[in-house]
Amino acid sequence: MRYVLKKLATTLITLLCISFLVYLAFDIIPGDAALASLGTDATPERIEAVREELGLNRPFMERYADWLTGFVRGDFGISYKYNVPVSEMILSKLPINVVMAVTAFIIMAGVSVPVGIYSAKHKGKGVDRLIIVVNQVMMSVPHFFMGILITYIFGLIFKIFTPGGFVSYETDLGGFILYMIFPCIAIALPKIAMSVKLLRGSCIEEAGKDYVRTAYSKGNNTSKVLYRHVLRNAMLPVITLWGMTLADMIVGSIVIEQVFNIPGIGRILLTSISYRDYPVVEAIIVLIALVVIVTNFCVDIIYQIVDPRISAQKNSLSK
Amino acid sequence: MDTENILEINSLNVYYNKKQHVLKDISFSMKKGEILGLVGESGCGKTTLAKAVLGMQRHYDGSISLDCPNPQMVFQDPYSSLNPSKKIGWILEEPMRMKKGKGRLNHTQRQEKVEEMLEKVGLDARIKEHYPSELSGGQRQRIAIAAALLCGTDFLIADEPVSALDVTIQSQIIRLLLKLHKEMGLSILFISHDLRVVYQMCDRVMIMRGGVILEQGYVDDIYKSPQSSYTKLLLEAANIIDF
Repeated sequence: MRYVLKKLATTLITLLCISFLVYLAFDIIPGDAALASLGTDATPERIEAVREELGLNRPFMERYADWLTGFVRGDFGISYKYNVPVSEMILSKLPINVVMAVTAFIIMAGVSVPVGIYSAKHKGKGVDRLIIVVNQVMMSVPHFFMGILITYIFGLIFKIFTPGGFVSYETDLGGFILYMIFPCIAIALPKIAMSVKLLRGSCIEEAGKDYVRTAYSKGNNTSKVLYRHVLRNAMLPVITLWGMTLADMIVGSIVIEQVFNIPGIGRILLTSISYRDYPVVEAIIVLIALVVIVTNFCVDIIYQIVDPRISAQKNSLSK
Repeated sequence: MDTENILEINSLNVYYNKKQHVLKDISFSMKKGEILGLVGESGCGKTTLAKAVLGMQRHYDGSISLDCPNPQMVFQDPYSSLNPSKKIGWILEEPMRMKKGKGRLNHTQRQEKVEEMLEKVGLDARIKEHYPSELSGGQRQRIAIAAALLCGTDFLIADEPVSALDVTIQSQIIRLLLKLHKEMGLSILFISHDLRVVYQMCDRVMIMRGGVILEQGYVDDIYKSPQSSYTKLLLEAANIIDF
């Protein structure tokens, strides 16, 4: 429990630092929202008036403190461009990105564990070599390019979905699911490859340890040894990868949105960057950081549950 | 196979990848209740021979006859020989839990057996609630021995079981193995490169080099009048030429 509280405190401090750095970065970058909305032809008096109106002339720390307290309450400010609350803008698009990232994660975990185990179990055989080659290819292809390939193959050749024809879940849930499967696969495929490679290697490494020989000598067959003894230990590095992957998938979903023409947070982010709509950009970046940090926090906790050596080390260190 | 023997090996050749000849024409036998030492430098084939006895070598010719259905092995590294994610109680109970049909023990009976065995190897019964990472090297090696014995074996291969431990713990483990040998009539193939430990432990000894057994015999005979120059060299190096 003490460890969890300690980790939670570190997480909050990290988040605070990130929010400060993000806010500071947008304050330092030349040009501001007033200039962006009026253009370079505007008179200095007019720019100054808009700055005053937006509160940009106030001291930095005062603005940051206001923004931070608002952020904690769920009030991310008002969009300079659309003049609507940022939280509303983000909340209306967030489900799309959450569905994409979570589905991609489930696909990745669901496929990579059995394939990784199968590959390790058949190490050196033809199927294992084939899996290694396919893995290598998938790992070297970035997900946006994978998205283009999937659009071409399943959208244009097999016509399973209409490229660019996004259907909202509010109008047609079935159509939404069918359309979203493909971007999710595009996000998941490179991660599946990494995960399979790591799990395969980890299983093979664990299988060479003495406790595995002991397990065999106790009368366990290969499947029992693999599932009862090897898998839990082999999963440790994979859990770390998955933690980083989940965060990466959320960021990846922003890119893949563009390929599949999905109106998610990525589109808002890109538009907001081009209009210097800082409240929106700051909120999205800090939210992404929040997801990354919270995911890492969860991974640390899961890691401690799965690997008793970590809690043992902590106990001995704290003594 | 002679009924007095627990292990008989005749003209055993072991190969790696069908090409590399690792063990060459190995022949020896081991009596029931005997402690046989196997001495040699690193890479001479001691562990390969142990694996062959356990049926873990694929490419071999010659004959291996073992009069024990479930031979067990105690490894050199006590840190890797126990599953780090399982509690000691789970590890020790496993062979009993796997037993099917008649003679299968219930949870309470299994727990009693585990506690009994822990006592036998000189450990507190409460240790079963701990994970391997919470134990010292000596404690882990005792657990490894207990786990082997709970499989109901009467033949143990101890592959350098004390070389990763410090000297005081080494002597505790040796005393424990000797005690168990005496109490349970355990046959032990004791692999080591430490001639002093072998002298303390074994009835007979085999000296191995380059995949070949150079000489074998009673410990006193070999230590007092070694035949091969390599054995002499080993005894000199260990400073026990006039043992």
